Amino acid sequence: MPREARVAAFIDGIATGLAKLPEGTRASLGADGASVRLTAARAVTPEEVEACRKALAAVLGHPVLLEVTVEPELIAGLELEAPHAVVRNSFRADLIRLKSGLVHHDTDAA
Amino acid sequence: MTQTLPDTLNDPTLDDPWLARSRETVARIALAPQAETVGRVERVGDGIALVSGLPDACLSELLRFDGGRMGFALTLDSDSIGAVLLDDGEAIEAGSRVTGTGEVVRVPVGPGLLGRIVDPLGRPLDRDEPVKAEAQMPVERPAPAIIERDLVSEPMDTGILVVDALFAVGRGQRELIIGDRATGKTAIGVDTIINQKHTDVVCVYVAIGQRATAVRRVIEAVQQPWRPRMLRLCRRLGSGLPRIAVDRAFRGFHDRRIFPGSRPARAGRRRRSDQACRNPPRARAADPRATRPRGLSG
Repeated sequence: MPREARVAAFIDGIATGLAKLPEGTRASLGADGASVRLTAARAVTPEEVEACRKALAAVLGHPVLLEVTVEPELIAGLELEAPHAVVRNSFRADLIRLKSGLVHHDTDAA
Repeated sequence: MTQTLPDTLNDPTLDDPWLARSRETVARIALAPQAETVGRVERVGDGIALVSGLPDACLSELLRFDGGRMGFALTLDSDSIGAVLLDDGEAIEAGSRVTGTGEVVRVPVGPGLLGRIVDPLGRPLDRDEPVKAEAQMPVERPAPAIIERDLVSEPMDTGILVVDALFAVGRGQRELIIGDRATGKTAIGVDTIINQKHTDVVCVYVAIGQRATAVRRVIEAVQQPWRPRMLRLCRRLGSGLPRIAVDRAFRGFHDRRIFPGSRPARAGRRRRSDQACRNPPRARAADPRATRPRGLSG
């Protein structure tokens, strides 16, 4: 996967996931200047952070302060973590979901 | 040097049933962005955790704490949840994460429970072998109405001469043993259980708020091979399981409900309305977990 695509291609997905949260949770997310942790698979450029901030602010209806961390274990993608909400759009999250589905499938079959 | 591995997962010529089932399972899993609300433990003590967040939690919903520990929502306030811990709460700290499971507390029921020692969630404490459950039933269920219960028409001997001489105890009847501390109330109950060894009476021992040593003594007293028709519902030894949790589990087991086939099915079970949820279906529709059963439907 191209290095650029490991972050930029997942920004819209994070915004889509954020929109699925209950309204009350969205309203409290990043309110009062509280920062929200954004985890990426690699170091994020200032342009990518700005693109994320714009996409999230459009969904939340208010500006949001991002605290960026890097976790290569994500492989590719982004994850957003606030005190009362988590949005995952990463390969790691997909792999965990696939593993969980296969494990349950094996357990049910047994 | 690179080596190309065969594409086993997608090879249609492979006719392996497990592989076919796995392919179907993988195809069913929708890989989309996941969004979930999480709660945070504000404070914890005496087996009760105060949790903030989780606006879509339902009353009696099973909650998962950090480390896989479980609890359930006992009270729902506008901005917090009072959760009863069903596992050891010592490792749960303020600030730790809590997630909803979308399910109410259920326990295994059926004759497979006889002779087993289980915790309030029906997980075995005596050995690794899982309980062979006939079904899983919600703990919070209405008790059978008086008219639906069998008449008390058959005597039951406790095997304790003074009790049998002075009181007429019938099968299915409730009796209360009242006494001061350390006067032998538990001993009467345990002796009565042991004295049923040659009868078909099913005995259930529920340890509520007792010391681990006392529970261990009772388990040793009743854990004999010739006492198979006995269910022991116990707290996890050495843990501070709250009294109310065991009490609720006991309510799930009582009135012969551990054996669903032994009495006619009851109609008109209570259905918990959405009013028991803090955030009714509108908000949940956007939740990916909304497809899973929520609330009581039993």
